[in-house]
Amino acid sequence: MIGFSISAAFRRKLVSFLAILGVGLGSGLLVTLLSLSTGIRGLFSETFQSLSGTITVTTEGSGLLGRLLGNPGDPLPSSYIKRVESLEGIDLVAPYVAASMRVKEFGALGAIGVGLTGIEAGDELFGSPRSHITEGRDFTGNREVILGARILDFTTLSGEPLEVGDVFTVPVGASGETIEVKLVGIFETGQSTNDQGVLGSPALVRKIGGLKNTQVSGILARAANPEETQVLAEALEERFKGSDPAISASVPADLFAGFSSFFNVFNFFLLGIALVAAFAGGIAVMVVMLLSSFERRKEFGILKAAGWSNGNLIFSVLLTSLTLSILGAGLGLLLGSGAALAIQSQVEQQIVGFAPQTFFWAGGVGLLTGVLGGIVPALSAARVSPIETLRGE
Amino acid sequence: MENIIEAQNLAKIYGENPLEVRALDGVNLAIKRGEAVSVMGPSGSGKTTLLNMLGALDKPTSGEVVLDGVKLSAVAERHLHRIRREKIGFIFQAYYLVPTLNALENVLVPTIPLGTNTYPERAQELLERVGLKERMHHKPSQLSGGEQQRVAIARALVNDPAILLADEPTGNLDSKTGGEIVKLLKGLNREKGTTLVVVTHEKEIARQIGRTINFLDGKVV
Repeated sequence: MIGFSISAAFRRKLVSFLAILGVGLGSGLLVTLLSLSTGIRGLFSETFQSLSGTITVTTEGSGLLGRLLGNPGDPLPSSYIKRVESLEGIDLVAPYVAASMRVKEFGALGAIGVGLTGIEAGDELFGSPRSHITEGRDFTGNREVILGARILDFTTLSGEPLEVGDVFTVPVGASGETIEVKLVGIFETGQSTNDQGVLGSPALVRKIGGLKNTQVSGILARAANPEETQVLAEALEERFKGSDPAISASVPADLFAGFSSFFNVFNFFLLGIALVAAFAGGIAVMVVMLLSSFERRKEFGILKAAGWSNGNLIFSVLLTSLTLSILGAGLGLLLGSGAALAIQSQVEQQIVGFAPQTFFWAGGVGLLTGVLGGIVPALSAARVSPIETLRGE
Repeated sequence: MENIIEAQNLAKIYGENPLEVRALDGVNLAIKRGEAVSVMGPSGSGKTTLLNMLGALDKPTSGEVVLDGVKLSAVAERHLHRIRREKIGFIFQAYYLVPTLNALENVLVPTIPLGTNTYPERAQELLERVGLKERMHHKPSQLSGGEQQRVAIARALVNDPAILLADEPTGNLDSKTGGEIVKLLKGLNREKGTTLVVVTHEKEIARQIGRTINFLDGKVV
């Protein structure tokens, strides 16, 4: 029965191939998107590990993510720097200013705004970007910036790579005024969060972000003993209780939790897209199976006359359908993995990860499309009346 | 010897008054185990309809078919396939082989749901018995009409049925090949004691088979 049903899947080779391709493209998309999602999640997890021991002090509701996304939130008074530094157990502070850089040369990122950071002191808490120039040179003066390697990756993937020497026209606050800023170098610290941004002098950032000399956007503080990070963050919040503006002291775990919930929503979105594609694959299988069932009506009549039960026919047609869809899912795994690896080859960072659930989903989509695509043709086969189909000769 | 097939007051009516057609009209007959019987009659006389009723492929409007002591009206629709699989072998005028399978695979078609490994040997023996030892891996399109009908006969016998029902088995064949098929069927009846019912409209074939039941307008005459 199994051999008979499987071989029935290949009676019309071209049509079967198209059905397999349909399912393959759907599940391939699923594999690619899930692999990227897993990889990026892993990347952030790794980066947050590297930040262990660091506390980010900002006004409430902003934090490290705000800096990276070019939305640093309300500024803190510079006087807060000393209050943070003086807490016992803190051995280094790194005040910074941040602004949003909205320039068309950054493509889609430019529309959202890329974080421009100016480090006042303690740049080792940012991975010492100015000591990790991989191309060009460090910035000097107040009209030059250096760019994180990950932003460069993004623009390269978008087809419009940035180059050292490019000049950007950057809007200054909400005034309508613009200034020209030159890209003079690329840096790569190896810490993804830091390599996502643009770095310039604090004076340049203050100008673009409209910050006063007595203000900073945030303060990174390092715990002398990384195991005390959480306790120190709580102590800082306690120290600033009742101060205006109020502060928020985040540790990497808090930030990662934020990313995790974002990724969970993102994963649902990806799954939605992929399931729609898989549904289209299921329709392809159903059309092929219906066509095949129609062509095989006489054969089903013969099989019934020869003693096959309705259950035998349903099982056989479902197995034929499952054969097509499982092969499609297998093809999808290959195509999807190949596409993910091809994307990976364009980017230096590890942004692709293959988790067991990715393969579970791809296999699940294969089974689901096989059953859903085969059920109507299988029932239609079982309904064939042998006497009517044979009389039709 | 006991009756293996009985038709009791069998009727089959298609359509409704005033357009109804009585394909079978109160047919009574009995066929003994191991007997060879031909059903003769002109086109449209109800021969094939009778054969379909006897083979549990179709249901009568009224009356009863009893096969090997089992009343078919008492068997649920979903269980009729067991009667067809275990008691009956069918041979059709148009052979009805599966075009994508070779001769051996076609013979094995009724046994596929049983999933046992004993049948390939039996199928090869049957193909050898019908003279197709050298042709068992050929597809139907590579076989002549007579060869295809031999494959259909082997297929009908693979489950070792007690009853062989043949609907115009020589209808698509030339007279020489037709004669060989009839000889083959008679031989099987004689050697294995398989009950044989052959529908035909050719007198010579009916004579070779044995007892003849004549049909006209849905009635035994």
